[in-house]
Amino acid sequence: MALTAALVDTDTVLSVENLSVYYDRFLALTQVYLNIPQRCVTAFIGSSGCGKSTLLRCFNRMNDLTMGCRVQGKISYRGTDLYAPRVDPVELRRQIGMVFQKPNPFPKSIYENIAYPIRINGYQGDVEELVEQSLRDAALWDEVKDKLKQNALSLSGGQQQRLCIARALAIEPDILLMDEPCSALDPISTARIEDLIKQLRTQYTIIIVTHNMQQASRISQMTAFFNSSSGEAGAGAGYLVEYGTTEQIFTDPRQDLTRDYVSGRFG
Amino acid sequence: MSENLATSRTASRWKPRRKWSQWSERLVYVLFGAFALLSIATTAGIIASLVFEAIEFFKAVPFTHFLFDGEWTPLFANPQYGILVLISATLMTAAIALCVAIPLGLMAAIYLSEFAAPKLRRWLKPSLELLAGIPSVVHGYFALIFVTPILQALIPGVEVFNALSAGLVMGIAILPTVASLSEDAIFAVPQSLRQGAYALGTTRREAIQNVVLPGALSGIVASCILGMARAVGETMIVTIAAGQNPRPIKPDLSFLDPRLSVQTMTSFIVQVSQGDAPVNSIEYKTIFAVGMTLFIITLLLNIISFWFVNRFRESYE
Ligand SMILES: Nc1ncnc2c1ncn2[C@@H]1O[C@H](COP(=O)(O)OP(=O)(O)O)[C@@H](O)[C@H]1O
Ligand SMILES: [Mg+2]
Repeated sequence: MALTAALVDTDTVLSVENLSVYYDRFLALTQVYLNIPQRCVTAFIGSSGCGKSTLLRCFNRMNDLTMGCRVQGKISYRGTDLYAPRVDPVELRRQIGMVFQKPNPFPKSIYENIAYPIRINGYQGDVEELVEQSLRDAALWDEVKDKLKQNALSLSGGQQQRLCIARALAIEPDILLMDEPCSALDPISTARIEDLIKQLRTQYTIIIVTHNMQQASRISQMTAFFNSSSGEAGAGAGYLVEYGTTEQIFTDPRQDLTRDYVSGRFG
Repeated sequence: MSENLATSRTASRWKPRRKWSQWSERLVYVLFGAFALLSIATTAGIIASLVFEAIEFFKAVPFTHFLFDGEWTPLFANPQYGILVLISATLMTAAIALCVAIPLGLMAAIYLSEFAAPKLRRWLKPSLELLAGIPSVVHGYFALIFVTPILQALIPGVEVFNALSAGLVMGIAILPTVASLSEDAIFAVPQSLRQGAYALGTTRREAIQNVVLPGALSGIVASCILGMARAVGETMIVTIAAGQNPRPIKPDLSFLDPRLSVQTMTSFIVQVSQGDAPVNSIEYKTIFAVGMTLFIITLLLNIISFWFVNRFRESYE
């Protein structure tokens, strides 16, 4: 792993050990081992239904809200077992933010969309200032500074998604999870969000699920490739095929499956 | 026509029965149009007869008296027609009903959509809606025989017929409507909004209070207004349990004392219809004037609710 050491800061923030996830009796993800390094972008790639979102949702315990979802194995977040009984998922989600596939701004004003999480988490400083800062961080400030009172749903899809990123950044998370954040967006909006991710990766640990391999190669330093056992979407258990630096995965994959996938031969 | 169109090589094999289908299309159009027209015409007819008889009434009773008189004594020798007496009683019983139905209905709706397991919800929601099917005469006697004695034991001065008992039970009667419609509105708030809230470190209560309920607000308000419209138009419960005692409008506000017997618009109509008011007598026409007023009030409530839903509905897209 000399390559990894050279490219990224190897302090591990999230460490996944022998993780399996069930939905009722259906095994969605099996025996995943993975270490996510700090302050860089890790991409999850793989065909639909191989458990990428499932794994992502384990990191902020969003799947606690899914009826019938069961997690086996261990995830440590900076040394703490995420699923230990004394861990409060509400507190955890404040540390590990999430951006969803489809932009989901609240049907409130643009300002309120960002001020709300700031207030609810008990921010002691100047809320207005932090709202502006978050919008600047998400490269949205110039477009919305004159219409902060307008309903967020009046924004375009790309702007809505950047608003959701701003909202997630506003509470100063440690890790940002992004589940195919560009899949509902046009190429121009996608490019803007990619630029944004490149800027953010110096300060945040980002884990991004993407269908788009070019995107993974453009923005990530680490890449994890997933597949599902039957090869058919939704039918078998997902598992991690290969994990390494993005450069290694794309130029020198160790597994044939990975080579086929990144060269676009299937998926 | 089709003869002039270029036909394919196999045209001889295709003989659609165009004549018949054209004819049946026209039949369907006429038939369904007629039924649609019939229902509109019926409604229009009802409204027309209401208006017609109401106009007859206002030929005998000046409009200002109807609106501003403080007493309602149409069956007395020296009759007075102050509709405010009936309106105030109607609004009072409806307000009492809403005080029961809104908090309980909203809590039931929130429980059903946010806390109940899907399996439980599948059972509970239809059961709740089944409650709406209880005949209101049952509610009426429940109020009179069961609730009123309890109120009399608890509160001094409660009459056998009283607005409070009728209003409380009416609240129970409209509760399923309010709960079910509110639940629809709350359930319609996209799951993605809840997830968005949770992902920002909100607790369940915060997510419900700050994201889900505001998102469902237009539907919740509409359900409350529709509940009110039902309470205003409700007949049996108030007739049985609230009595037939129109209370004069007085500055001491005694006409708003819920412990006493009152007469609502609907129970007045029942009272006169039960008696033998001859057609075209002034008593007879009074029914239509009151009916017209009732119709306008419920229509207004429906319009407000309709307007509210359209004005404040969130599109989420
Ligand atoms: N809430 C759920 N209930 C049941 N099965 C689910 C649920 N969410 C996902 N799955 C199943 O788990 C598998 C992995 O899904 P997911 O993690 O969404 O895949 P990906 O994000 O890689 O496309 C799929 O087969 C999917 O059908
Ligand atoms: Mg997914």
